[in-house]
Amino acid sequence: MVCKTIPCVSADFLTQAERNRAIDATSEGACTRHGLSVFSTYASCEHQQRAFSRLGRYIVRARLSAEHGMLAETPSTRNPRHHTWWPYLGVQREALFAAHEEQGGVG
Amino acid sequence: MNWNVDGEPIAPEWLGELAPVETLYEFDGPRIYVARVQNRPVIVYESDADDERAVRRLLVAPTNEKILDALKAGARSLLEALNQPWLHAVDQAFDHRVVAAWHLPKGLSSVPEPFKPVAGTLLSVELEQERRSNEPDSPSRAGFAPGVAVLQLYINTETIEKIPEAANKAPSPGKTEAPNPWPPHGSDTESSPPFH
Repeated sequence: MVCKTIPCVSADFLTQAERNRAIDATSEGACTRHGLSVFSTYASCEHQQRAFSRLGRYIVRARLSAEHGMLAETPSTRNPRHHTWWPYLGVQREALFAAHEEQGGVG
Repeated sequence: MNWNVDGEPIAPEWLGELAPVETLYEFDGPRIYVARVQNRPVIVYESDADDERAVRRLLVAPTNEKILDALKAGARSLLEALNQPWLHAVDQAFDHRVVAAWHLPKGLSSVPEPFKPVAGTLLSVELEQERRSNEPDSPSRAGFAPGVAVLQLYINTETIEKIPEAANKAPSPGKTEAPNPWPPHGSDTESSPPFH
């Protein structure tokens, strides 16, 4: 994921539902709006960072396991590495993520 | 919002709801997509968002099949796809109401760097990898086997519980925009057909 600050803050890990976005989503969108978009490769994150520099200059990573929530591959044609993570209640999301050591950052 | 618009206000009603008709890039919802304004295609890029005000700022530019095909093929960057004869900044509430809109006479140069794509960025990382492999000094072009591209697995998919197949489908298509009875904005650049 891409964050503005290190360490990450909880505001970087809010779902669309928690941001009151996509309130009229239907079908799969009604489900994915309660999850967070994550990528399985550094390259995908770095690309997202260049496409949307405002998201922040830091790429952070986590090793998610079953205790942290549910995960599904939610690829699209041009975003095959896209996953959606539905964190369990009580999971401190930002605490799971740390800066990726190889990054230079943009913007 | 995090950047001030240097532009001329236009009537928000002219733009309709800017409902996605084709999603080009998605994370936590569509972020780059095709919509229709006055029944003509536009490319929409989410430039900024303000959760407290429940508003996001969009960049809206005319597009056409040729531009979109080039974007999808990696022959045109995101910035190039947005760099068209006219550009609007549009503030859209999270409930899809367009609350403010401006024509940007200076185009993309009036948009601060963090709020537009970095120059050269293509639509997907796969297209960029393909571009690199086609460069003259690429190892694969020189006859060497390309290196293994796996950099890091960020999610341990072996240990996390997977969602059943039903959750893995492609996003649903955007809803159909209702006809907009309002006339276009009066300036020549907006009323003339810019879709070439």
